[in-house]
Amino acid sequence: MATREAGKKMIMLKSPDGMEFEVEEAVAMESQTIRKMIEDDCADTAILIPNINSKILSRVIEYCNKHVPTTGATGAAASDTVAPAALAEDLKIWDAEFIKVNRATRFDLIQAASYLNIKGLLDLTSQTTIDTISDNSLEEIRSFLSTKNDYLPEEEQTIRRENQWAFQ
Amino acid sequence: MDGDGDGNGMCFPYDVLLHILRGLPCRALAESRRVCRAWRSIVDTHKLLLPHFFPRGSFPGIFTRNYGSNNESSFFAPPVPARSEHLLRGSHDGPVFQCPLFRHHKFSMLHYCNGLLLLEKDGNCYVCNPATIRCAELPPPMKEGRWWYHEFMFLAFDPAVSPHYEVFLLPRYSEEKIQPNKEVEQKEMHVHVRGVDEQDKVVSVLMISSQTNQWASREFVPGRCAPGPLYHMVTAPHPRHVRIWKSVEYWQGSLYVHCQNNIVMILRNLNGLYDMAQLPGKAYDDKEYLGLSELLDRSILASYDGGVRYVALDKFQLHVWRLTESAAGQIGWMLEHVADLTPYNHKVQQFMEPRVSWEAVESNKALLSLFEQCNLKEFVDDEEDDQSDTIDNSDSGTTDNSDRDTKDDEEGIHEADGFDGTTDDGDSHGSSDDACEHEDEDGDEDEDEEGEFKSEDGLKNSWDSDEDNFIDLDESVAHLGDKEYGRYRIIGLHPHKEVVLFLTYSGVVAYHLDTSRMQYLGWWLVRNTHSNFNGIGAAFPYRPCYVDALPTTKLPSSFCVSYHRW
Repeated sequence: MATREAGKKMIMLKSPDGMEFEVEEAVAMESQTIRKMIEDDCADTAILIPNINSKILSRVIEYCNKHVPTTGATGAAASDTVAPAALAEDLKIWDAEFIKVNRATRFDLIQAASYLNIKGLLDLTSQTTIDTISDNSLEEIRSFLSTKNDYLPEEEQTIRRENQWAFQ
Repeated sequence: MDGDGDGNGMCFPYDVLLHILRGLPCRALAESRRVCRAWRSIVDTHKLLLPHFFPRGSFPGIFTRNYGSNNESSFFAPPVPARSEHLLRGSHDGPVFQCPLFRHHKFSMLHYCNGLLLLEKDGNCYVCNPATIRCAELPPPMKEGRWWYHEFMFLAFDPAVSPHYEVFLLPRYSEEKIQPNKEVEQKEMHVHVRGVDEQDKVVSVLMISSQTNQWASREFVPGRCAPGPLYHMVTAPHPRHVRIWKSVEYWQGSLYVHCQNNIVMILRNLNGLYDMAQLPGKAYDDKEYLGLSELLDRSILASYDGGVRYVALDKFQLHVWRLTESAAGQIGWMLEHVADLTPYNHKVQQFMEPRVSWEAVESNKALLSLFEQCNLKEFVDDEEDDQSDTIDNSDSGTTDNSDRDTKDDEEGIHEADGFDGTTDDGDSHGSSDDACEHEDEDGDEDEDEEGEFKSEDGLKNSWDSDEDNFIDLDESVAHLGDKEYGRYRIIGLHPHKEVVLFLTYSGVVAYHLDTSRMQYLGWWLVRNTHSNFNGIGAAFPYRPCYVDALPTTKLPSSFCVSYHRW
């Protein structure tokens, strides 16, 4: 459990499905969107996060908790004894585990990271998607994205030709 | 949130999708255009492929047009290291750069622009892309007088704007009389002598676009900065031997024409206007340049990323100006660099043995030709088939397969590489995107990549632009006295770096404007020279482009015939 130090300001985040999450201000401010709200004094009581359900929001908070700069944040005690490089490595492993989610959750996380403007999370989720797209066939990509092929056969042929240069 | 896609491909917020696409390696990005229309539209709108098909960083070498040599043209390049094995295995992401060669001894190089070459042979003109190994023959602009107009032909191509190219044929303002039997065509022909007061200072050119493939005349009218006296200085009838158009550089949709009498004329292709300005610095007498070489000691030069400059040498005093165009349309020159190259000249004379020397690459059977299919496997096979009936390469008869493969590695494949090392190579570091996308000058990164390559392949002979052949000035220069001999001529700008390339009495040097240092590249610009009366007529630093609108069809049969005979 997060040990809450005295004097830490807490922020209440509300998901549209009515759940409330009390987080440290520093953690919430990992999101540039929330940071701006706080700095603009729009965050007196609770901040409603639209479009992000409680399941996703809790995961986002989990991510932010882990990634908040260690000074004064939860887990600070551990970082005192661990070298920064090892910590970064640790974080990488944690990220890799964190992103092992099903497709729908990953998409939701991307949307959330984008809306909340959390750079680290956005990079993590996009990179995973980049890898997916790079490693799969066209059909697999389409099904992964639930996208229909809206080209006519002859158009597809044209694009194939246009793309030839990359495969020379 | 705008993301919830319903099968239309927009399953992420636009920005996120853009970010993801931008992160894709070359081939996956190209393939992503096939996923759906929405994706293709994003890739194309944001020109995401541009850094891949027109890679920043690669500089394989310099094309030259020769005179007095066995070869009409040459390709002057650093040695190609034997590093290409992983390319052959197909693990490489993105196009593999093949030696941009064609029948050097047959084709004369008229002009070059952003990866495309304008070639001439027997009065016919061709536009070629050595990187895609495609070629188109231009229809003749007129029925007669094919022989002498080539020097006024210039190529315009910007892959960031369109895969299509244009060729401009600038007018001739000759003193000579027009033959009466040409009067029918006179209106369209560049030979038309226009009395200077006849019309409103119009510049009439012929142009052809690859979209129409037909010559058409086009008139450029004066823009906001087109002083009448300058127009007359350029267009006044002159003796035939005077080159009125010295060179043309195409940059951001405009042709920057270096004209006689120290004038620059800017033909703006987008709106049909032209502007003119006097060149800065000391005025030069055009009669100085009546030699066979068109390489001057003053040139208007453009680099794709670096803009337009005017580089002028007065003996060994170098001045570099940058062309500035104000919002109000005024053209100005900003003096950017001044240097005395005399000490370097002394040193170059002594500098006889560079560690790694650039040289003219032989257009022999070990190299891919422009006029063959580009598949390397096929090429290797072809080569074996063709062995018996082609020229007697001294080593060809006895080489076994493995040797041949090695040779191809060394010479046939040439990664997009040169000064900057390995920018186009992604798979060994997974960073082709990084290398290409960074718009800034990423010297450190290049160095690292080069370093990796060296260790990876144990290369001794790869060219390292950041280390090799720098000419260090020391006290010994002082002993050389003031004797000045030789002369610098301008080859052009490095395609990516702040570097001017010069031809000197003793070879080719690269002068770094940012560090004021000089590099010696090599001596053998032309091969197989059999007389003293040979040299470089024109030179074009080459940057490959992997996209064009050139036909993929086979070349005219006459080509094949001449090829087989070869």
